[in-house]
Amino acid sequence: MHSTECFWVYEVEEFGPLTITIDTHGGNLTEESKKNIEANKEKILQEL
Amino acid sequence: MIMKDIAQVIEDTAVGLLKLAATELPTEVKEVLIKSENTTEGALGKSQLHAINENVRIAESEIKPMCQDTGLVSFFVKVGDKFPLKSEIKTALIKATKRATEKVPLRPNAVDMFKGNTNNNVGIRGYVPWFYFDLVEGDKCEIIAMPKGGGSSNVGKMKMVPPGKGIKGVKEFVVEAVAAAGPLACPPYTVGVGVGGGEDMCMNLAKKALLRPLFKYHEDESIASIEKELLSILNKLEIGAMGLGEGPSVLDVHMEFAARHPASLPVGVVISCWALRHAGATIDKEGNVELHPH
Repeated sequence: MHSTECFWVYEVEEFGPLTITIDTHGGNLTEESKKNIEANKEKILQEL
Repeated sequence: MIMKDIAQVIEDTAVGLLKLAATELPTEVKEVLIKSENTTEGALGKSQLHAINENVRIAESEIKPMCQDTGLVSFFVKVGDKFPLKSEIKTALIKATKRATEKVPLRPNAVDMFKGNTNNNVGIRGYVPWFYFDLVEGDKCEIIAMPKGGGSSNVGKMKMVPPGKGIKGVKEFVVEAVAAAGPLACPPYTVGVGVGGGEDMCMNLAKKALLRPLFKYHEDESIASIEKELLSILNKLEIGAMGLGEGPSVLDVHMEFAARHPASLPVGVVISCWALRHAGATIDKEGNVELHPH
């Protein structure tokens, strides 16, 4: 079960620009970044 | 001469320190975040750093917390032998935490496992706020308030590294810990590493290492060179600002070493989000307060 730390309801003006990290077409910047970090980690550990 | 109520001075000072820590970053942290925004080339990373810096600026000018997570409170206290108060320091700091919760305000972050949120940042079973007490010579009392966010505490790690792996094993574990933190804990990070002592001491040392001003390296040259090496290595992970791969991953790395048991090589890694918050003051025996440079 997931728990939520907090919810905020905003009324905003001139909000953004925003970065969408997860879109509805399967794009996920966080997952991409994690894969890159993992690959970099392996390389770093080999070179240590 | 009217004698000051020292306990009251401690309480008032600590309320001020919690407020300062929550609303204003130490100068060198502010400066490096602005420099990072200017030097980051990718628009994605630059926009994250711009948002962070704008947030920091507004928090400071409006005197409002820079993050909704105002942290779990801990105090690092050095008590001089001739300072008039001892255990009353603790009482005053607990009172200060409750007052600051109302006044700043701080989000109530002390949750009891069975009774729920205490609503005042003070645990009902003791321990929170957490105290690091040290006894020192002299007649002063130094207090540093450090509220630490839950997100970045969630990625802290401890490992009993096989001693045969030596310093290479230490470096490997730091790389693994920061890579595992990845985008999860609001980077760019400051990384505190504690080596030696025991399984508890290495974590304490790692947290304490975060209090050293950024870019002030260990006085032992051999340790300083490892700090700088790790800073360079960890940035090759390309975590980037808010984990999006652009801009700095890590702002600085600080290490503290204790002696270790021959059979053990404990390594603690405590990670701070970009909002590396702490504020300190020294109070003398007459109750005069000197704020530390912030």
